[in-house]
Amino acid sequence: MKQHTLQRTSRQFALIILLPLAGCLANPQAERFDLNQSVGKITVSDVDIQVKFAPVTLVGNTIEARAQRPTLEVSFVSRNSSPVALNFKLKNMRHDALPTASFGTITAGEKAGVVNWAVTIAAGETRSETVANYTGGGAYRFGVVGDLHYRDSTASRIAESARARGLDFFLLVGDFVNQPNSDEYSWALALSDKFAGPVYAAYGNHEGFRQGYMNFYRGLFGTTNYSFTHKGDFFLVLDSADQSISREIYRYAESELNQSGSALKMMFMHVPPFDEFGMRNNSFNSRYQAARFLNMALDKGVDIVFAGHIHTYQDFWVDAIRNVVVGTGGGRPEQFDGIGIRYVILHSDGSGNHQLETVDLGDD
Amino acid sequence: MWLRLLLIAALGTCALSAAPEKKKVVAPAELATPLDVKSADAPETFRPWPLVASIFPGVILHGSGQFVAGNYKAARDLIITEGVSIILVFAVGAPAFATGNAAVLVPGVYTIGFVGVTHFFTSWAADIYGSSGLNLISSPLVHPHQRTWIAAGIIRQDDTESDIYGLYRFDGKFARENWFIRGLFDIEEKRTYQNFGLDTGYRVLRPKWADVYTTFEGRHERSSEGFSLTSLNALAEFTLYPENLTSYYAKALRGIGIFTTVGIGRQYIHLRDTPDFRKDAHFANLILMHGVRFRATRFTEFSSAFNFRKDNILGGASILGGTFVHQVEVFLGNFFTRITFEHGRGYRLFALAGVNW
Repeated sequence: MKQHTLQRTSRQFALIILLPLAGCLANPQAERFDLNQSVGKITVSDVDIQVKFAPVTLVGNTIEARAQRPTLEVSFVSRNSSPVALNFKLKNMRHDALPTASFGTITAGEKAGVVNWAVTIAAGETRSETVANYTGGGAYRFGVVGDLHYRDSTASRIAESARARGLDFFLLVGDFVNQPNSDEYSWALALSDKFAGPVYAAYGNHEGFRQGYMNFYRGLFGTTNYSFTHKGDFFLVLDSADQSISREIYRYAESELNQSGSALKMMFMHVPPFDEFGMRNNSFNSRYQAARFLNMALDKGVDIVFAGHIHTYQDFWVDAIRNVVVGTGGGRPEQFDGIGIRYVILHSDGSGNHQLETVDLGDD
Repeated sequence: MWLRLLLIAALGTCALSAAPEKKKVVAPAELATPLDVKSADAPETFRPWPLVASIFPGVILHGSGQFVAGNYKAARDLIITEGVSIILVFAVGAPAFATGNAAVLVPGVYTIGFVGVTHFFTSWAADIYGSSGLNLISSPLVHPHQRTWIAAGIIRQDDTESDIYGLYRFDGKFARENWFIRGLFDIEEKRTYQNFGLDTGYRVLRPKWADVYTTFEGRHERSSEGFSLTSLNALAEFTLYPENLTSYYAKALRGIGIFTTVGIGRQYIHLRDTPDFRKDAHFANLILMHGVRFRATRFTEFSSAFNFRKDNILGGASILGGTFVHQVEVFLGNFFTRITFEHGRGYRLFALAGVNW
């Protein structure tokens, strides 16, 4: 009787202990990274199309894509035995002038920031083309802020200020929505109208903390890891939303940085590798991983890391890498830091020289 | 009695400065004597409904299992504990929410909330254990003559390391005063990683129902990738053995110790490997660990810890999940083995072998 009871007790105990462990061996980050590979692909009239990094959908006879960076790279593989005419509607483009295309015809769209692109793909043709907001180099500036948290009042103040500064684009380092639902994402997609220019995004924890919403995000904004070179400077946007950089993202970052010869290299992510005040669990979960990641970035010549997540402003150096945390876009502000609504503008001459300007818009 | 328990937990957790009035010196032979847990009572017949009730509505109303079983006093104790734990959580949540997680304020109260969260789950677990017949387990002390450890194992943590783990522990004086020397050598793929450290520990209290243990640890970790970390931490662990507090816990929590570790310190990040303490980034450490240890047989110890050691457990902790540590320790004569499974963001598995003499 006693032995029977012990066996039953042991089984109960094992069940209690092992069940919570069973789900701990999966690697959700690998899945997240793999899911990025499906972004931007569509087949229309037997033509396989990939718009790199950008979400793409077919609406009627028009292929709609939202630019996730200043240059759209589009590849075509036709399996059609006759020429195919394709019409694109490209969103989140520059507002002050039409972009240029290496192929086809660009015309103004229904409103600023939207352009139509008409191309004809020959039978069995394979080709890659680009649509570029800007060509060449030279001085430019762009803005960065994080953690708008769906606050229209502060977003409007920032946008109003940014419009007057002649920025090439604005980059949101995550948490621009508070809840990842359709209403808030619609609001976020319209931010380019508010800013009167392209708005690019990094993936934050508030964009993805609900099951299944990573794909929702990808369908609207594109991949969560991407890179581009703008007027000579290198931009690398990474997904650190779960307070870490996965093995896959680490290798992607290393590969992209290896290929870039830019004099100024910048990384953008939501959760910063380090919190200057390191007791709040607001940075990477592991300082070992953060050190390893920044050490790699240091070796690859990264100059600045922009991040958000912490609702304050920090500007500190880890060795030769400048760490700028600008989570002051309107999310519940940290008290006692003396900082209100703030965003930063990076002024670059396109050859590595740059300056950082903070723009204060008063108290929250 | 619960007030006493909570007061002890709070004191031990916050500062661990409440030294015992009188430090009783216990001889090794005395330490080796198993506690008298008055296990003469015959095991109760297993009944399913108390166990079902301990899970639901037990998850909301702790003590439901004991209530269904007719142990009204135990049910009352458990729901009081749950209430106190919720108060502790709000004691942190309110200022954290009001200040936007302010750097200048929140770290000071994190500990209280952390204890609240973990005690919430502890009282729930106590109800489940008490209702499921786990009162059959016995509770010997940890082997008192344990002096040296050697270890070998494997660590697998996402994007961090797989390694061979070496550990040497020297126990200086009858399991009462301890100091440790610890070395770690890790290998993963083409990288090598080394961890050299020195832990010093001092056991300051060991009555029947509680244990206070202090540790100072210094650690330098090097990676062949070209960076290193230096950590200096002071830690204190407070362990309760509730089975010695009340007759109810003598049955329901027999063999279970509840411990809390609190530590502060500083960590330096050297991206260029060679330490330059005037130039390197440095950070404050906050180390919190709360958990439950189980001893299932005379020579086996199970340990389950909720680990919030953000900085010194490679891979760290997540905001809500932390790193969970589950440990099985088996003593066979003078030899023992320990298998540790940690999981959080990734997971790690240690196998450790030791000799006592």
